[in-house]
Amino acid sequence: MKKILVVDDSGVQRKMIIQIVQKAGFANETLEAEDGSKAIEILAANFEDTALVLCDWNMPNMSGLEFIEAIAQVPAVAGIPVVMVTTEGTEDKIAEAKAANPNLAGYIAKPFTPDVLKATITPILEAAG
Amino acid sequence: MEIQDQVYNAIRDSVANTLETTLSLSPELLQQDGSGAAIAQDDVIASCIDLEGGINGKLCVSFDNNSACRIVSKMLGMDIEEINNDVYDGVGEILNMIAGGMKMSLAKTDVGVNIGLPVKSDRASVREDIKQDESISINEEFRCPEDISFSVILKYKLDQKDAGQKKEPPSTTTKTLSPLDKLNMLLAKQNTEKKEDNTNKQP
Repeated sequence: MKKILVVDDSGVQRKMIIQIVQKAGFANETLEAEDGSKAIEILAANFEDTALVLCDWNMPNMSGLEFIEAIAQVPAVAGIPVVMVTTEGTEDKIAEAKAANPNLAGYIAKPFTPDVLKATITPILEAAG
Repeated sequence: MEIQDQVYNAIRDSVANTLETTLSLSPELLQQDGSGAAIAQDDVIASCIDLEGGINGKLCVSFDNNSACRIVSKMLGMDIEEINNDVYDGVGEILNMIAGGMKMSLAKTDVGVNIGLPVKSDRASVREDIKQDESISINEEFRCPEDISFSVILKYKLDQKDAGQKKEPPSTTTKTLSPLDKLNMLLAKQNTEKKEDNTNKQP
């Protein structure tokens, strides 16, 4: 079963992303987390069939940057594609995210249209099989 | 161009980009009151974000109840008729995107700004904040189709010493277990539980 994990402190933003993902038929199941700490718990319980993580940057408790940095260092989950979805869209922030997780698969700056989200994650999911 | 003009332009461009991209709404600037003294009487849903760096201050958005419900209804594709947690959250996320866009615009002009997390506020608090007059205030009122109107209020001081220098925002991680340690611990626990399950299942 293919799962997509959406990590964002805004419940409304999570719902918006999940609606796009579900309408496009990208996943059998979507998972949600409101911060990096919760995302670690959910990913640890679902890593075997998580196909993609869509992750915000600025969140309370644990940032998206800290979360993606952690998963890059653990072999069991390092191969799961991660796409940052964030207002932090400057060049230096993108570089910082890539330094934290060299396997970063994509970067979407908010605000974004549904087409941009779909165009970004389609090739990533297709490559993952 | 003066920094103040850059800030004005950054806000307006970001408001337009946020609403057009996310919701296909084109906002019209109705009124600009540089004194920052006026907020529409009916505004009751507000969210504020702290700004630090080249400009230091606070950026807020405020909506009347009906506009707040309408805009979040559009975000979620459903009818919301009463204020609920989603409405507060949605208003905060709109502010987050406006602030982020403003930050990116100003970064191109070498004015580095760090933004905090949106915090729920109310009309009284926003009015109280903008009363303090040592800072520059901007209050812009916008209207969109579908009877949605809102205000964007920015109060700030220029930090000449820090202009162009980018400060890191304060860490928001609670320093108990590092993210890496937490992940390794949970995965190890999963592994142990699986092995125990397999052992129990053996005849």
